[in-house]
Amino acid sequence: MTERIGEIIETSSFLFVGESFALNHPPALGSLLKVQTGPGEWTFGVVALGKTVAVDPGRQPVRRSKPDAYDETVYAKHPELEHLLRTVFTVVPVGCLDGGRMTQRLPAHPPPMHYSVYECDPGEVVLFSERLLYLRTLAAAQTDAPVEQVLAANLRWTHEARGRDEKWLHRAAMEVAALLQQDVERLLGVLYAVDPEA
Amino acid sequence: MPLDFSVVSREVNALAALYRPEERVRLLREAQNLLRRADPDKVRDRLSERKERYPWLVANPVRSLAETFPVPALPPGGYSVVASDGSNIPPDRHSPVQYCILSISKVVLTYGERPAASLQAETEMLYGDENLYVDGVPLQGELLGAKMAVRELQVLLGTARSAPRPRVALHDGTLILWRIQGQKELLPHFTIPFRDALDGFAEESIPLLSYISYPGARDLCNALRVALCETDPTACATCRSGERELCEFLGRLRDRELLQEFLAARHRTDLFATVSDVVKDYGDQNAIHFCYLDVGGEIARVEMPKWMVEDAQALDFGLSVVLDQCALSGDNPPYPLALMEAHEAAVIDMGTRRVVDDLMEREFARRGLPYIRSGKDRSKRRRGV
Repeated sequence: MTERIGEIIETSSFLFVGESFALNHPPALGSLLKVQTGPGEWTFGVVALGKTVAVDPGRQPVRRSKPDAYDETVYAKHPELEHLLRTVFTVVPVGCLDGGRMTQRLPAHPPPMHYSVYECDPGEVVLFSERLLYLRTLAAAQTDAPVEQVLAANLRWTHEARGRDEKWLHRAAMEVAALLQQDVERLLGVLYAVDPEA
Repeated sequence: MPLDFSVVSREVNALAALYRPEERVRLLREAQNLLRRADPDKVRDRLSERKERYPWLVANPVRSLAETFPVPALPPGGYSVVASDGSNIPPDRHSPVQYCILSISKVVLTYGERPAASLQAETEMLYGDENLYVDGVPLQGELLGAKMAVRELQVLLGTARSAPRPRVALHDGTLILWRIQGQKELLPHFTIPFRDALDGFAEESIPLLSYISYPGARDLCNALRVALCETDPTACATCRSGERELCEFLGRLRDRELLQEFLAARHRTDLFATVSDVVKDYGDQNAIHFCYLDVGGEIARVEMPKWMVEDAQALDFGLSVVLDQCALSGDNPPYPLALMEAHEAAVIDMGTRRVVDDLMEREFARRGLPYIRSGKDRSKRRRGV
């Protein structure tokens, strides 16, 4: 079993939000995560947003640094911040594992509130990303994040997780090109974000 | 209906016109000059000679009236600061069920090599006549306030005992239970456990300081009136003194106003004993003393038990922690960070209050018992048009 990295604090069929166990360390943008929803049942999703906010929405974070105490020193000077701030991440569900079958469709039910969110191991990433239908779900997601950047981040992250699998990246880029063929600006946005040198 | 702002605006103008800054500055300078030259022995003597107490509180100087002292820098190494505050859901006369909920926070902030924080609160629910009445008097208003003060101090002591050393305990508001001092028969219900908790701090030499932001007290100004008056300071109706204008000004002045531009930044006044009657029940070692402290942008009042007045190390360390906590708040005017977090940890917001009421109503419904709030309360909640 891979590591638990957070807990679900908001959930719906098309989006769920996890609270990270580590302040200021949400999972990487575009990375693949999973939630166990039952015996042998898992929901898979892609990270679309990470942010750190005040636990109490009525209390705005204020400047804490001093000329001689800034960055991580602020946290040493203010141990209470670990309790007053929280890091959350938004996940777009893109597939599920049910009865031993990995499918790239949305699960019938949203993952339950307060359930654990796990990282995926490299084998799961390879298995899940063999098919690329999930990129369509991701491209259609309604999130606060710019979808092209989430797509690009997922391509970069998956390419690395698959051991810099160039063939896969080429295949994924073609899939995105087909997906966004009616919108060249957005397509270029994704491709430049994947590889600015290209 | 909204306020009629034409009325408010007219009255604000009239109110502002009452303030005459030149007059005030002149009298304030006179008052500060008096503070410099007044004889503390005269105040002490008059306080000890007088049989009946003054109708107002008078600061009894331990040494001087006007001397001020810089608060030493925080010693190297870390410290722990412990703070507590309280919030409550009082018994509600519009509710068919009488209960009271107390939320008492316990905050520990530790600085140094291993910084840490703990922000928690204890919840207590009181019901039944034995808990909601004190000798037949309902636990509400000032009695509930006194109950909260006792529980906050007990929780503060319990939390401070297990906090990493060196440690300082901060209490919010006054340590003087003056609001209930008129209720003589009920006093022991509160002063005895309060004194026991104060004894606990003394026994373990845990510096205990109570912080009052923007204090409204006039104890020091009243001490100046006692020093100024050559006859009876309470016989104002027949007074023919040439100092009457200054004396009346002192009667309206607050200590924090007297000390503005008198105390330098990071300085404190000398120490004073309070003459509140209720403090006599605390025992000699816990007799409440106080000083004023410039925390940078505000004059705060800091109260402490007598044993700290006699322990210079505990006093200096405690006050240096208060100043450090104020600096950490990042606000202007500053306020000790631990007290701010203690307040936040204790507070019961409106949403939580509604949840408690819903829980109660559902539990009664489940048991088939009627739970009907008063008509007035229901109409206020519904606000139909």
